[in-house]
Amino acid sequence: MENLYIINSHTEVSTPNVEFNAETGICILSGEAFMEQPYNFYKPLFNWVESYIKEVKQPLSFDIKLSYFNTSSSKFMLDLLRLLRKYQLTGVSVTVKWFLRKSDEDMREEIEDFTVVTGLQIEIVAI
Amino acid sequence: MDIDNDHNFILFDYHSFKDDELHDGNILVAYKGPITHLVLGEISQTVRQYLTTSQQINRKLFSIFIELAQNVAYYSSERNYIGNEQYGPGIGTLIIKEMESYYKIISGNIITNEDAAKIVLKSQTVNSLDRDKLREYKRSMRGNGDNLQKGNIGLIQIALTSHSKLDIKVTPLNDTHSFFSLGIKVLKSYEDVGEDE
Repeated sequence: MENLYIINSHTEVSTPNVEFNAETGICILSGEAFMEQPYNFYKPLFNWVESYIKEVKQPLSFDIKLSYFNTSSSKFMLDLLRLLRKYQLTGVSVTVKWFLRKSDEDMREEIEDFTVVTGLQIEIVAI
Repeated sequence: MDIDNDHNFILFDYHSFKDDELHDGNILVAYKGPITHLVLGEISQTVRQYLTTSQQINRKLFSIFIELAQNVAYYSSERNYIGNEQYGPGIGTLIIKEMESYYKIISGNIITNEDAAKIVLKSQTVNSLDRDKLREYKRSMRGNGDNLQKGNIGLIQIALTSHSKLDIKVTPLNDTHSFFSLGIKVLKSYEDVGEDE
């Protein structure tokens, strides 16, 4: 299975960097997300994770380093975390680390909300 | 023919913002036109980098500005046309003012009366809830709207991020459309903000 890399260019400020590695199971999301057509951007990410779950069947580790996402993107983050929780409940190791600036109380609340709604434990890494 | 007499629009009045409420405070950003991706990118970077020295406040201004701008781009009934073909995102106004103890971000655009009714109702709900209830409401609403592309929680998030109430005004224009404006305060310091205002 192939890796999924989407690296943000300087002309496109609103999409995050995506580094999903099929060999290590380590997936990194970084940068910012406030694109106008979020579905088009996130669909390939979901397809990749679904394929990984079906074909590779190995542990997954998500490092979320997003410093900002808009409310449209937050819906897709929620869907992604729900998918990860579902995978975890089949008995596979799934870890999610969220890199959070200490002063970012709004983001801390977002993470709390995601935890409450999905039941997925999210480890906060202070940066 | 004197070109200046061709219309009644006085650009100087517009530029001077001859309106008491608007004239009060410093205008940091004022834009009217289609909210294109490029415009949004450019203004939002300015909002983030130059308006204040506090990263926390810049983040709040940036986040609220993006939500308001994308609402205008999406919901505004006013669009440009090339021939008969509608093109480009919605047209609207975006303003950021600096007052003594807070910033005010304002958006204005034309929407359908149907959308106006929905927004007024939702804003009333948002403004009636304390912070804990508002977060609960957000958790229940996220992703539950009709639109696949939208989070359905923009207004809720704006109220949460700003710790203040949504200031909504709807001015009916005709049977089908209204002018809708939304103002929101962003304090210059959030250290002393309790659970509710």
